[in-house]
Order: sequence, then C-alpha cells, then structure tokens
Amino acid sequence: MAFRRKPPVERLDDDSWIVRLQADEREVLSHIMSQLDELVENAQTGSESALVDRLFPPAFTHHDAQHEQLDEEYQRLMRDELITARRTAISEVLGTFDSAEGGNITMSHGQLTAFLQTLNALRVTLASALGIIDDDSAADADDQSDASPEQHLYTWSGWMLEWVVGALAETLPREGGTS
Amino acid sequence: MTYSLLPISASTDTITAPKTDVTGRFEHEREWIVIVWNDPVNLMSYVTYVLQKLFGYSTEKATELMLAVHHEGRANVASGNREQCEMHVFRLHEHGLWATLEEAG
Repeated sequence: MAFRRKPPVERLDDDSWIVRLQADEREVLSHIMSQLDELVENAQTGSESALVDRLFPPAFTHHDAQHEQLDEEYQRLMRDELITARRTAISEVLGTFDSAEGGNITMSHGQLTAFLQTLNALRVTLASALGIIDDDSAADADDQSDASPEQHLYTWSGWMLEWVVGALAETLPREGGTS
Repeated sequence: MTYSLLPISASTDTITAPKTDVTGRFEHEREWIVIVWNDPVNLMSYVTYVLQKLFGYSTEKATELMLAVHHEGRANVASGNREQCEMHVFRLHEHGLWATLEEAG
C-alpha cells in the first residue's frame, strides 16, 4: 500500500472537499457498495438478507400488541422512504467515483454526507457479516493477526469514516458565535 | 364515536373523534421520547456528530448523550408528540443508528 502524504479528506472551500481514494480502493468500494445496493433493493421486495436487518430496525421500543401495530404502521409508511434514501446515497457516491481525477474525487457537502451515510451503512452490514454483536466480538474484529478481507474493509471503513466525520463536523454551526 | 358535519342523509363522509388515552389526553398531546441504543459498530465520533447535526446540540451536550449511550446502553435524545418522534427516529435510522420511540413516563 502506498504511503499517504496527504489527508484522505481535505476541505477545498465552503462547499467542496477532496476525497483521496486510490484506484484499488475505489474498485473495492464500488464493488461492495453495489452489493450493498442490491441487498437494500431486495429489502424493498421483502426478500431481504439478515445482513441488512440492522439498517431497518423497529421504530418502537416495546413489542406488545399495541406497539407492534404502531410499528407495522410506521414501517408501512417509512420503510420504502428509508430504502430510497439509502439507494440514492449509494448511487450518489458511486457517481462521484466516476469523476475521479487521479486519486482525487471532488465532493460537495451533499455528496460527502452521502459518502458518510453509505460508509456507515457498509460498516453496519459488514458487522453483521462478521458476527459483531457486542463489544467483545467488536474487539475480536479489530485483531488483525488473522484478518479476513471483510475485517480489513471493516477497519479501513472506520478509519475513513473518522476522517469524513471530522470534515463534516467543521461545517456544524459554531457554538457561542455571533454568526 | 363518529361525528358528521352534514345530515347523515346528505353525506357519507364522517369525521372520527380523536383517540384519547386512559387519562383523557388526545394522541397529539401525549409525550413520547426518542432513545438511541448502544451498539458495538457506530463510532463514538460518528454518534456525536449525528446528534449535533440532527438536533443542533452543542459538542458538550452531544458528547454527554453519546457517553450515556456507550456506558448506560441508552440515552433519551429528544421528545415530542408521536409524529415528531417518528420523524426523529426515521432520521436516526437513515444515519444507521439504533433508535426507537416510547411513551414518556
């Protein structure tokens, strides 16, 4: 792996950032995000994989008859919207990869937000594939001594997500400021 | 109970009286809370950022809530009527957080 001289996410101006992804990283992400899109699409037809269960959790804490009915109503109204939002975000990210110049991808705030949400959805789905269900299994996944490609991708996506969060956090309204 | 603004013979459209709970409060008056639950996947910085972005919390407040999620397993991050809380839960789900709503109290 090439040594990185520059940060993977860097702000250019008020509404644009450079995201630095090498060709092999874009290739892996394109492949895995397309698979994620397929899994999410299948959730629309009711043939979803358990891998994406965590992307569509129940909305109500309690599971008695009243709240199950409320949850059914919620899912009927909101599930398709959530699926559409996820697929739109994935499509937006993949579109930016097509316009990469060298290893540089220029993203707007909306595109970087789509990248953030898609990277996180990818991590959540990879966690299901890796059997990460609690802090102990999460710690095992961080053990790189005998890591699978999925474990490497899980770790890498967490590292990249930290950079994207850091970049977007700079755009939050300033606290205690006058503007 | 159903109401009709027009003579029954003149209209088949009726207005259903709003539902009330056992205390007589209307649905839109009942208080609900939004809870974010701990999970081993979402990064602490990510959870803090999402809480700031969606609810406008300061870094300090969002960090406090994130730490409550991490150490206590859950945190109440917002409240309101059911419709408002359902929208909050939707946006949290959109960001991949494990969130639910329940009645306050």
